[in-house]
Amino acid sequence: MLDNAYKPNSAAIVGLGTKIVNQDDERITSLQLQLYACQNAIRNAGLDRHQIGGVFTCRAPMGFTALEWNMRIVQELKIVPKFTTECTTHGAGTLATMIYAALAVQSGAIDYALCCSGCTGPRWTDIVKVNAGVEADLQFEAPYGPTTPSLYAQWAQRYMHEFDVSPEDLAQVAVENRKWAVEHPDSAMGKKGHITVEDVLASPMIASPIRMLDSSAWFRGGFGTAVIITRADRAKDSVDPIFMTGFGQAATHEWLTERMSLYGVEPAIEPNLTTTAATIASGDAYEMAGLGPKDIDLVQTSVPFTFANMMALEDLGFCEKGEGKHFVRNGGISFEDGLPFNTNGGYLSFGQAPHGMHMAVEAIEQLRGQARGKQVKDPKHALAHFHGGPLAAHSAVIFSNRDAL
Amino acid sequence: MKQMDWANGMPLMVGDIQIGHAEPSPETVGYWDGIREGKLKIKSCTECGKPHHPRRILCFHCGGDTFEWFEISGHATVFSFSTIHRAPSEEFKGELPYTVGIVELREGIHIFSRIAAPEGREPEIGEAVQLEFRTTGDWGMMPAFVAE
Repeated sequence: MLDNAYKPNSAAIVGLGTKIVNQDDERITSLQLQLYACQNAIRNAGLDRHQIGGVFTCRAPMGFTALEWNMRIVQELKIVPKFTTECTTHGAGTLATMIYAALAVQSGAIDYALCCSGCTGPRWTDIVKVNAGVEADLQFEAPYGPTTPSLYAQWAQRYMHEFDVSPEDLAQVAVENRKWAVEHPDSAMGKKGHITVEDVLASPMIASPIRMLDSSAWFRGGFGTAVIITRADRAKDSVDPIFMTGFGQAATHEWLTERMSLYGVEPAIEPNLTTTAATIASGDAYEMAGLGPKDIDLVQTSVPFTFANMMALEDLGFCEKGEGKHFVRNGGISFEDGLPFNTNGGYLSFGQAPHGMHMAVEAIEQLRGQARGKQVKDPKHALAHFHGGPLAAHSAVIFSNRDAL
Repeated sequence: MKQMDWANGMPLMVGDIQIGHAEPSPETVGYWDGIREGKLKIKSCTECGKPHHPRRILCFHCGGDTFEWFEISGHATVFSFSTIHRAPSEEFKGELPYTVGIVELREGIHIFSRIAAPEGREPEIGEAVQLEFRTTGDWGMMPAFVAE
């Protein structure tokens, strides 16, 4: 437990910078993308860059091999951080940058931390090939020709089998996500309009039981993000600080098959592919925050398939394990009057913009009342859940605005 | 069979400059030796005797760090699977659709492999399967598990 390590709301985001490039824009690198976002965040926070004492980055972006990505950022900004590292738990590490930053500023070791991520990899590299190469074990999985969806599908198959979940149940998740995307000007799939359960079931099978519309869409282009985090007392004069109320992390494996050799410990008391370490990450976040799922006004998750969204609803505590299908059937994530879930359209319909920070940006903008899509009414607390690897690494942060304090 | 030198790993080259070294793994040599002989071998800990996936370097039961290779019985059940309709690369396109999955060996270890069911159907979770070597991509004969 981290509950003695951090006092709720003692760190806050006081600067947010994004850099969005579209597929048709001039091609820029992931390094350029992130640096433009960093520049925007530093300006947004009103800082002199030399006030930044910590730099926490995502792992090196796909399509940009770098031995130490954080040092590429540091050397370009020409600053001298005392704390800096890559946070390399895949997509979970992107959100974790903020966790390390919060702990570092709260401790007093540094005053301001910069966290950045973002990737234009799809403009430079065949990401499908790269993904298959990094997501699978080169010796014990790759020789059999797996794709990334087929690795996640191992979870999906077990999940549907053990809890009698139907393709129709899962399709509803895609339908609801799309409704939010239609409202969001930056979403990849919103322009294509609404979809029905029948559309999902009629879309091509890519790796059974996963169909095309059960899957994330690529956000073509790049979504660079940077935030500035400081102690709450230094955030007093900030216009719209977003507080970090609670957080947690947990990771179980690098490659899928290895998850089956993990047992005797949560979340794998028995070997399984039905419960993720999001249970631990979110459980710690709730406990630290002194809040529960009922207090959460909106949820953003970076999981890339319909089944994984349903599992996430369970693992994040919004319903019991195996009850996700009933939760969704009964309107639990209804766009109209359910829990606001992936309010930009999520990975399925906003699109997968590596490394996923667009999902946290959405939470921050919603809490500031500045949603670019549909604004959730008067939200106070948002839960962001990021994952990486084949449901391998998980991080969770509960963000709150001033109204919540 | 693909020429992969797993014992020594593979240098990652950009022109004449080496930027890394991929997957040196002397701990899996016994597995690949077995594959060449048409045998699927896994490890057992020489301290406590418990079976392990061929990757293991440390025994997570007793902390032992030495292992012996042994050939499996070939009996397994399907734990999970997925039939792939879009290949990851040209190498596998000619085999579409094909099924990959996790099987639980009678020895208690889970491994990833190809799973084949009779024409026209997918395997089922819990179904009994038997080891048989089959060609995958450019890898030559690799372990697969076949349903009745």
